[in-house]
Amino acid sequence: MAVGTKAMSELAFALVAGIGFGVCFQKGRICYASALSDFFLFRSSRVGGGILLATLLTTLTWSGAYLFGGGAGFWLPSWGFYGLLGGAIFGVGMILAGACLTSTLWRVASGSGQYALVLAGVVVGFALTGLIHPWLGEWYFAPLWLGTGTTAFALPVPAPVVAIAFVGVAVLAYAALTGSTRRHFEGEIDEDEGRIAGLRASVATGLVGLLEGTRQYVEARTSGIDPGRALRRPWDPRTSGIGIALTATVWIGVSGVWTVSGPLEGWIALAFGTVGTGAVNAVPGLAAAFPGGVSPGMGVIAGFLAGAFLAAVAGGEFNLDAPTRSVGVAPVAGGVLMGIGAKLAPGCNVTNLYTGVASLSVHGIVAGIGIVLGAYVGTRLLFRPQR
Amino acid sequence: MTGAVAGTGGCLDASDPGETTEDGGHRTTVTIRDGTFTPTSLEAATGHDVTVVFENRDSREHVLRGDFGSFGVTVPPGETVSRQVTVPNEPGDYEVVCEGSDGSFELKSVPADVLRGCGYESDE
Repeated sequence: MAVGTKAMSELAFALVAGIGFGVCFQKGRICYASALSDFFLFRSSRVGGGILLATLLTTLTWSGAYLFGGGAGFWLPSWGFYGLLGGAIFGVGMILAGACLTSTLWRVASGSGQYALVLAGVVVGFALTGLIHPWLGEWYFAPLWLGTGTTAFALPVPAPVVAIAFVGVAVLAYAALTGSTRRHFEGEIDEDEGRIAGLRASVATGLVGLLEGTRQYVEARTSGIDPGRALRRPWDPRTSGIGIALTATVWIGVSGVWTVSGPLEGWIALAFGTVGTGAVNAVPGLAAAFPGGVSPGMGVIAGFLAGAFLAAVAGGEFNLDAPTRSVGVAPVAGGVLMGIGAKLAPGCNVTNLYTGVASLSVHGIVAGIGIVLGAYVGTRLLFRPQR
Repeated sequence: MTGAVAGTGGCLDASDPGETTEDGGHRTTVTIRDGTFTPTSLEAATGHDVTVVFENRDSREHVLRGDFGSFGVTVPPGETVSRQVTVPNEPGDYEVVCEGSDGSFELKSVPADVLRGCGYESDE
């Protein structure tokens, strides 16, 4: 009975956490696909900055969780080339689909038929990979395996020190990128400047821009917040980033890290099982993923959809629209690639680029690099300049 | 918490006794008859402990040696011996051979933590 009560309360927390994630993602228009393609095409870091803020704040708070709880609650699988390969397939897929897995979910919750097609593609991708599940361990994961799962938090220094060092390096790298972009557009780059001098100038310009942007952001919020407007209007991605980090910090205290593709596969397996045992047993991967009930992770997914739906309704953005023929096969094809990639990496954009990187998990970082590379290739292939 | 048992459950269909079986329940029975093993292999999660029950149906003793850790077990004729085996952390195929006969048994160590994906909560 006590176990049942604990499970129920964890599920209730899961729904609340999911609602928090869903609201933040929908209001901030958080999408890893658009963040990456916008950066590759236009050097825009608006959405990417919000995602980075969420990730770095989470790294700091989770380092505290690691300090007190060790690896409990963290997902630290073994790592290998499969992370790069699966991540790259996922990255190409999300550019083709026009949305990452989480933005597909919040767009579906906002009534989009086009992104429902993407989600259908993801289901097909999971099912296709599920058919070859019995051979994946021996013929795919084992040959590409490089090491057992670990995190930089396990280094022989306190985890928060590692987190602060990582955040410092990430901020400098972000400043270098944004500073370089700013100098490029403002024509400040001297053709004769050396590489080191140029990097220094870019970092300095980027840090000044970062401080100025932060000052403006804080001033705008300390001068008063209109709750009605906050409900109706989209949020600055940085606000969503802070909200995501806060939710993830509470959630690791209650249960563990936030993952999406696995619990989503759990829902798909549960749906197949509801159709009949024959349906779920026909796909060995789904049979292996069959949860037998609603896990806390699956509860977060349900909450995420509910939160995104509520945010869309509050903003007057809920609109049931059917997909048009003009979208072609890209949404389904992109969804299929995302489903396959999420199984072969394993993990999606949140599991690897957010949770994995914030956990400083070796697997998350390797698979995250794969996703970024795939997104880069996808962007270059899909958005080639017209001759 | 959903354990690794549930996580790997259903990974492989062991309906053909001669083929690879899984570490469902972390316990599997291997029968030795005429110096040959049934099943011939076991797929198990890296780093996990699995219990292998060796059932000797022959009228002579079998001495088994593994090429991992310090695995070794002697199974008297007509008897059953149970051993807990820690599956090597490095994925790969590990062989258990029977001294004095051609029979062998393969322990296939697979990285189940990635095979299971991120939907499972580990009990490790």
